[in-house]
Amino acid sequence: MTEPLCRITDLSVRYRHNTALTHVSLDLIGGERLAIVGESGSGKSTFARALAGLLPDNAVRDGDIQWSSERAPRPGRDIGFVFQDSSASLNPVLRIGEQVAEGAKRHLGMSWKAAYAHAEMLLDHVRIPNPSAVMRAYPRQLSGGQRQRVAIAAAIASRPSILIADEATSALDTVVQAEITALLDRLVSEAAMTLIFVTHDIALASNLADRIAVLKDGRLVEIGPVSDILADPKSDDTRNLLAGHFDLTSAPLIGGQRR
Amino acid sequence: MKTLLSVENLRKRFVSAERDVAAVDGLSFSLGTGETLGIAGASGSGKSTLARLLLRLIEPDAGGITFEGSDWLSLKGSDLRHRRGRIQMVFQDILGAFHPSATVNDALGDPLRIHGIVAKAERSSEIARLLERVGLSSAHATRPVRELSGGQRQRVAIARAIASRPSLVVLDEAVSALDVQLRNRILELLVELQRENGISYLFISHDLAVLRAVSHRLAIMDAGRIVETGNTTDIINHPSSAAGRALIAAVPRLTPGGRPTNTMQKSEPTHEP
Ligand SMILES: Nc1ncnc2c1ncn2[C@@H]1O[C@H](COP(=O)(O)OP(=O)(O)OP(=O)(O)O)[C@@H](O)[C@H]1O
Ligand SMILES: Nc1ncnc2c1ncn2[C@@H]1O[C@H](COP(=O)(O)OP(=O)(O)OP(=O)(O)O)[C@@H](O)[C@H]1O
Ligand SMILES: [Mg+2]
Ligand SMILES: [Mg+2]
Repeated sequence: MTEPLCRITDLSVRYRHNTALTHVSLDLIGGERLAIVGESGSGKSTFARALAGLLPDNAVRDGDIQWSSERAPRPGRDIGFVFQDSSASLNPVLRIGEQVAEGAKRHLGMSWKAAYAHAEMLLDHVRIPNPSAVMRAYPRQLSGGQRQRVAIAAAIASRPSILIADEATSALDTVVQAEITALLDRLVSEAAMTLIFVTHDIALASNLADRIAVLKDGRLVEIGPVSDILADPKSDDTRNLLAGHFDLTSAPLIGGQRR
Repeated sequence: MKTLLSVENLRKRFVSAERDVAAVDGLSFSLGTGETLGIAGASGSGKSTLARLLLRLIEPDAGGITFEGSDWLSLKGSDLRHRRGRIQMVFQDILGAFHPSATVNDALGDPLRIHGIVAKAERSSEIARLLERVGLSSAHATRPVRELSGGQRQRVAIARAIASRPSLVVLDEAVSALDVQLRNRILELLVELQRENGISYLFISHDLAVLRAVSHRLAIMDAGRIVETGNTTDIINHPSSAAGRALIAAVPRLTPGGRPTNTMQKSEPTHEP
């Protein structure tokens, strides 16, 4: 195996009163799609933020994140980040076009005109209807799923080599979700991007990732290729995430449906 | 079944210099006491706009809403303030739904106080009970809502919505950030409250498996309209609208054994009728 893109050793993160991550060690492989799964509060967002250097002020970090590149990748330029809350990713007082174009202008050295054209194309890629009109809208004028997609477009606008997406598709309808998944996948295969995908949904993870890492109470309990994790989960926590899955064949919770 | 809510030809259009969106474009439906109506539809189809109209956060251009037997849209001033709490909502944009400096205690204590649900002396034990029901502990009560994880915040929002014992709860992607175990637990809680207190739910979700588990009836929205409505299982088994068929075909499926790594296949339509 080639040298890892990033070696994480004994990463721990504490907030004022609680510990969110405890001694997490793993290697990131360049060009892979890694899903981070785990129950609510297990430390997924904390891990994602720590990796991107975007921890909030009240967090204390311990341990080592060693990048193979000479300088650590910079958030916004080398690392695209999509926050779990789209309202945290977007600036409420900036027009959509400006927010998406900004990264391309600043980091790809494009003129504003070229950056705007680039932004409009990206909005189209994330399936925003009527992108030229939406360019001039403000975040509050969009639906929740539209905002989430704009946040994805803004995160990939500077063509980052690493994209960290925190629950970026979890509130999207299944059709758009599948399209975004395909888009991210294209970026990985065509632009050699490394994708870190945080999700509570192990089914989504199994559709998108090469490897799955499972967190529980701030610890890494299991990491491996998707097929191994699904076929032969080593930990009870992984089995729980798999067992609770329900789909269109599961029994309804309510009795006798009415008309 | 008694009718709790009926919506008649509701319309809301957003017009600005650049865009003109008929977000809700002639919607009619009704909801019975103790009933759950699931709403699915593509992103941008008008689901949250409908929810905000019901909450009277925005006013419709046309149409009528009857709620608990009276004209909901003509309520004003103190009458509106008085009855407003009868409809609660769990917002899709959870972070924006809380005051930036609110603690969990504030978020849950306020509705209990405003609607006089329990005596002052019992407020903190009621908060502890609500937190326990959504899988949090009383240790979370003093935490700022902003400093919770996404799923923890979502559960506080659900606890807040049920705190004032409303007759209708509008849930807008309310379980979308919850892992399966928690989601099942919350759905069971909602169904139990419905059985005990006859609460009605308008359950908006992109997740058809969730809607199938909890809704008596399902409505599929497309471009501001209901294009299909009926028994949930019937629609999922035999969707008749193009919008319904597309949503159902794209449900992600757990693929045991996985796929070979590094090859992304488009998932097949996941449903066997
Ligand atoms: N305040 C507003 N001003 C202008 N347009 C708006 C406003 N709110 C919503 N819209 C538009 O109305 C349409 C319906 O939006 P709505 O939020 O109701 O969709 P939704 O079905 O909830 O979608 P999602 O699944 O993405 O949350 C969208 O095209 C959206 O851009
Ligand atoms: N800013 C913060 N200040 C204090 N504690 C925090 C903060 N953010 C998260 N926490 C706590 O750290 C723990 C891990 O949170 P994190 O957000 O990483 O979980 P998560 O796995 O992303 O959960 P979810 O699936 O619910 O989003 C939780 O107990 C949470 O309450
Ligand atoms: Mg999170
Ligand atoms: Mg919405």
